[in-house]
Amino acid sequence: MARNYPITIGSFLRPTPRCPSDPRPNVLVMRVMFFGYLFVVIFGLVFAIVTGFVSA
Amino acid sequence: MRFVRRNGLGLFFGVLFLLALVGQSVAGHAEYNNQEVAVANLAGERPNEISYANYLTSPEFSRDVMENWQSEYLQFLLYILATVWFIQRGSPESKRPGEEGTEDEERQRLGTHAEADSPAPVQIGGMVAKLYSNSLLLLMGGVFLAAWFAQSITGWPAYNSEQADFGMPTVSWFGYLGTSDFWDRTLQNWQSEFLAVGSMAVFAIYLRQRGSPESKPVGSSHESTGVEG
Repeated sequence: MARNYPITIGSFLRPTPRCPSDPRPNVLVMRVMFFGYLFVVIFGLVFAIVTGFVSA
Repeated sequence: MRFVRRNGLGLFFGVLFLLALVGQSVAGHAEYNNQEVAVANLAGERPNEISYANYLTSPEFSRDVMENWQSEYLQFLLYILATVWFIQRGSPESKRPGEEGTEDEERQRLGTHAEADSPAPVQIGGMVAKLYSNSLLLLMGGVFLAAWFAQSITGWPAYNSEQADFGMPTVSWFGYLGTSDFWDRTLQNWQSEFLAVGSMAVFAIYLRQRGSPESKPVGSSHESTGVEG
């Protein structure tokens, strides 16, 4: 079943084909939600770690 | 409006998070300055109150945020891991008895059982699919470790600042990891998370919330396991 897909972050979120229950899935919105949360978490962690090192 | 309706869960908690964080920063700033005044009065000195902006970049604020973050991500890390291997009879949070473990490839739609709409890493197979099979756990675990480290690296200067206020000796980062302050802050969060997540799994055996996927259907028997509403 192996195929030659490029391995990128985007490929992990590759849009899936349409399904009958959701004929026009808005993949962009799901990606924005995913990366929005990821950004908040990573920003918070980096902010805190930098704050700690600067204050130490 | 369709965007809001279809992403309500993520948006709802995102907004709640921001409101709570702002509230915490305002209350934390006030508490920080109250402590400064109290300590200064005890020492007969002039209080060194700080601005809101300075509080936001203080180790005290980041420490308080990070000690909660690490425990929340630990909670979900352990919950994801424990629900792979442990069963709780009657709980909608649990798999059915006999389904313990990582399950076979057919059930997980892996390898030759991958489908046309399976995610790309599953189509690629091999190590990439194996990594993707544990990606949620890896992310949660990574955030937990990073947040716990951030708690220690921000708690350390905050602890030393308090020590200096009272004329006590300061400690190194490794020294801080062995202090009761670090472990008190860590374990007070862990205990509440473990109780809450255990309660969720067990209370849902006998109690219901109509319409919630975290609950069994209202009419489900108490013995039914792994059935979500």
